[in-house]
Amino acid sequence: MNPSETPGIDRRELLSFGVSGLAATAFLGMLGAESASATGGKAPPALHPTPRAKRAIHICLVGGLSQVDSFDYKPALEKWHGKPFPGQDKPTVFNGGVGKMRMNEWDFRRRGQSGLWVSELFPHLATVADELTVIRSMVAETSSHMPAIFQQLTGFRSNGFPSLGSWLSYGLGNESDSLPTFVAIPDARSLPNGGASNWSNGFLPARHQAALFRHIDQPVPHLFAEKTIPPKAEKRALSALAAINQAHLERREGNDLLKARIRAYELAARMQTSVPEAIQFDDEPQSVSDLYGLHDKETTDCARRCLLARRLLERGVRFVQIFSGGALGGSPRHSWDGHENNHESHSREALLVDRPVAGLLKDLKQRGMLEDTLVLCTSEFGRTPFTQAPSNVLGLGRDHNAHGFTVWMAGGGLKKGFAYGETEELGWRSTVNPVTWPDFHATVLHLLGIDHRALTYYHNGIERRLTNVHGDVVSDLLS
Amino acid sequence: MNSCASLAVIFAIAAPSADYDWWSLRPLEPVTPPQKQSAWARNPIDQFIETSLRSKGLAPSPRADARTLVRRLTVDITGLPPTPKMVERFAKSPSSNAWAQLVDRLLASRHYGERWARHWLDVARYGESDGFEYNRPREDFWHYRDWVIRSLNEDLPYDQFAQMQIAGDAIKPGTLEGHAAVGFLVCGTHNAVVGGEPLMKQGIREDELEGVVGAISQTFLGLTANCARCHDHKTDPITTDEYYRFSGTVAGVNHGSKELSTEDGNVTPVYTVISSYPGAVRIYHRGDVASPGREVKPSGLRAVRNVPREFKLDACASDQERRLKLAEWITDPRNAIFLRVIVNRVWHYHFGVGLVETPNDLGFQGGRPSHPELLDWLALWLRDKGYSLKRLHRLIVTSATYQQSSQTNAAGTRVDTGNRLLWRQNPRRVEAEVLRDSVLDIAGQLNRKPFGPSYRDVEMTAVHPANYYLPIDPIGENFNRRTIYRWSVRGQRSALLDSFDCPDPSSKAPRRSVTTTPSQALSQWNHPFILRMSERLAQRVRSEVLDKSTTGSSSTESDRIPQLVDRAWRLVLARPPDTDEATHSRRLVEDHDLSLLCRVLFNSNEFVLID
Repeated sequence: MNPSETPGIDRRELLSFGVSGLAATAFLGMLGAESASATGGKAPPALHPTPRAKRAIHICLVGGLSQVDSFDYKPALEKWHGKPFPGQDKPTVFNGGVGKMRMNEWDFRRRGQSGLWVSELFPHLATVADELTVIRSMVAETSSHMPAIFQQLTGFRSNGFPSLGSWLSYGLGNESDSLPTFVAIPDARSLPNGGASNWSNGFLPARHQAALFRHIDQPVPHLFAEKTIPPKAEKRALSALAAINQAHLERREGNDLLKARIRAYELAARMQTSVPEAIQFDDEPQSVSDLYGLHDKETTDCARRCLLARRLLERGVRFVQIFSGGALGGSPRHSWDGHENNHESHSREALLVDRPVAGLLKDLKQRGMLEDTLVLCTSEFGRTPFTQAPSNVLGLGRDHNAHGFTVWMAGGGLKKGFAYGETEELGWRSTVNPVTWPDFHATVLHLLGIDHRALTYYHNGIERRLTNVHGDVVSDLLS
Repeated sequence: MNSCASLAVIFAIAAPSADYDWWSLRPLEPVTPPQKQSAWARNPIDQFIETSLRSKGLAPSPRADARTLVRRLTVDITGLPPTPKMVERFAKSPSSNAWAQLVDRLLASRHYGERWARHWLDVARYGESDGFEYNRPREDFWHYRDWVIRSLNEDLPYDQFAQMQIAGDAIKPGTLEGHAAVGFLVCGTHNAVVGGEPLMKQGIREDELEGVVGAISQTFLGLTANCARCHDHKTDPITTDEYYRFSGTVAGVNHGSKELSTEDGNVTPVYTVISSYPGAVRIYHRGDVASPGREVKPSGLRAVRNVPREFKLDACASDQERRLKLAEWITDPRNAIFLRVIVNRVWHYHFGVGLVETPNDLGFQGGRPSHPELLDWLALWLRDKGYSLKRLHRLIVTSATYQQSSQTNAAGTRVDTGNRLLWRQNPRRVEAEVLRDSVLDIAGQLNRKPFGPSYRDVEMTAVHPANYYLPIDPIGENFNRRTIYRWSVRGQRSALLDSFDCPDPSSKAPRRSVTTTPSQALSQWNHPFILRMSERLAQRVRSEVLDKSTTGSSSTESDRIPQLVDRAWRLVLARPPDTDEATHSRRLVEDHDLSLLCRVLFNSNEFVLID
């Protein structure tokens, strides 16, 4: 095997699309290492011999899910309801106002065999509580939305870093040669703030960026020409192009870049059939569309996206990111950011996603896919147990809380119906087994068979990692 | 914290780190070029290159053919394709003299500044919106982009080019020029959502300063000083103490807009540095603003060995005083790494790979120079020639090394597959901007209007107070300007440009990646812009060929298909088709349409490859 014939170009970038599964990527990684002095002698990512999951869906609740209203039951809040914040430390919050305490606004119940606490905010998810692995002791570095969202999605607080899905694309390669590796599906109402920065490849090569399936009917940009070109002409043009390129290649012996481009046109043609097939739901039985709530007004958007995610994963896509909530700000709000009226915000948002997401879990389970698929549901931070109001007022809204909040996971390799970590009695600060974003990311990578310390990419003087210099796998979560 | 390194794994195995005697930090010593080895060599660059090739038993490649040379040079210098006439003229007499004239002509073209400013803006992370939650547009930031283009075209000496970007507002106070130039310092992201808590505000401010420190130290010094914010640099001799000293020199830099007078007396807003009094500078332990440490004085880095790092500033020195000192210190003629970095950067763009492969990092984690003596010789040469970048370009492109063929040969492939020794020129894929500009130019649609507010091929929507930018495909002359004039906002992606690795301005791109994907093929093949330009090119070819028929007879399109094909090939690929290519092309035009051939040519590998 020769290293790249085109200096300055990483050979893997030319060969690894369309051919790679886990083993192939590792192999190409080794190849690359021989010639990768340009990239700082990058080693192949250390792959776990037996990954517990092969693919993942990540549902991002934009704005901040209130932990004390959903998964982190705090009976003590009833006692403190309407009273001033009793904590020792003066809370540092985003907007500054520390109003009176407010108890959970939805009733909590123990669910399923496991007895996991889930509130009435998520009645459908509650029915699959036995599948969930809940982390109730998350901490974030900031309670400002965008840095917190970036940290949740990229591990860093600013624009410009590769997202989790891009790292997975880089680390695992793709299973399908006719569908993208990483797909982001935003809320139909609007994009999350920061737009494409949220699913950016950052400094990783462009092929690791997400394909944005914004309009589900025409998800891949320029899959077909807008103007009608007769199929016969299209075919002739492509074969003329192939002939011209082939002759050009023969005059330039062994140029990988040129070979890769010829192959890219072949794969592009293949995508023209595989993408429309994947997004077409005609073959789904009624029982499945009912499970997701595909035909109900409230749930249809999220249902379509969840069902699409399942279909994409079935066809070899590695990572699908679904956003619940779009732009922060605006009125009415399109997110979980319940500053003014938390009950209203969370009622509205939960109605949109609860049934589809629960349906997704049930569907994955009935297909046997949940065994080697990860489902992640996170928000950038949580909300305060006190209200966002002047200190003598019992307000309706809750402010941002980076000190203690809840995320959940489900699927391959995890303890089911399991809650991990604790906040103190008010649900305000993580006190038992706090989990940081680097810990969370390290755990996700581990489940997917990757050692987070070894998945590195040289950029501007640093071997970069998703987990920076931090992160411990939370082994208590693993089954 | 924000940008620390993850090196533990590597350092379990590899050597520890660089010290003050690291190769890139050593003072420059005069170097004598090696003896000329053969008639191949045209200037001292070649003497270095040929000597190292011969020592490995290799020989340099012969000069490329005339058409390849003209295409290579024109794209390199101006970012635009050559006209068929330029190619034909040079092919008639491809002498050194004719080459030198061509080089001078291209360097004098105003398109030179547009091409090379794009490279610079990649490094500067030039973005016309704030990023983060609000991602507010920067309506008046293009003055910085224009300043870079003008300065390059005027061949502003590189030391002054650097000084102006660090302290232009102090060097030429009150001028549009001076304030536009320091746009460099506010190119990065800016978080306008700081919350109500002082500690949170301070943390966000420190994140922003880390970005400025990173930009200055990587751009001008090839050092990642930003890595020393939370702990001493893991591999380079930069301490946390020094990080805060260094960041103290720019601690008065703020983002904002200022009204300034233009040459014709009008007043215009300019996005620039708003100076504030920086006050005392403190260390923050582990980068944590909740753990302030002792006070330090603003100063440079000891790693820059020959230039004393102390600025001898009062603790209460103003922002501009600090930055003036910083500019002076960075551009001190004794500063070896300042010179090494820029000659390496220029080399990188002419060969696709630098003498050091990591243009923003000449520290321990970066690459090692393939030709250390040549790098140092060039560095001193640049200083002695008055820091003229145009002279440096001329020296490089008139070398035999640059003009080599890019064809492979068995010996070279066997001994030096990666071509680090430069036994041939590197074939390169064009950048996204070159692709788009070339398509426009060849289709006869390029609007050459320079400067001014950016054209916007994004739709901006606001969900108060946040802003969104979605790619659109607007049609019209105003949108047919060179891509450097495109509105460069953060968090928007253009399918065509992105798939050719056009970076999001949130991330510095000292060296762009080159990727090939099916989505690249889809965009290039189906993007309405490419289809539209294919039609325009067909119209151009028709009018040029059919109008030229001087016979007076009624020459129709079908009579003149061979001429149409020939013209299309020459315009797109700077050469006529060979027999087979002509046959494929003719049939396509006969059975379908000339614009279909144009689309094929715009998609051909040859079009995106510079040999």
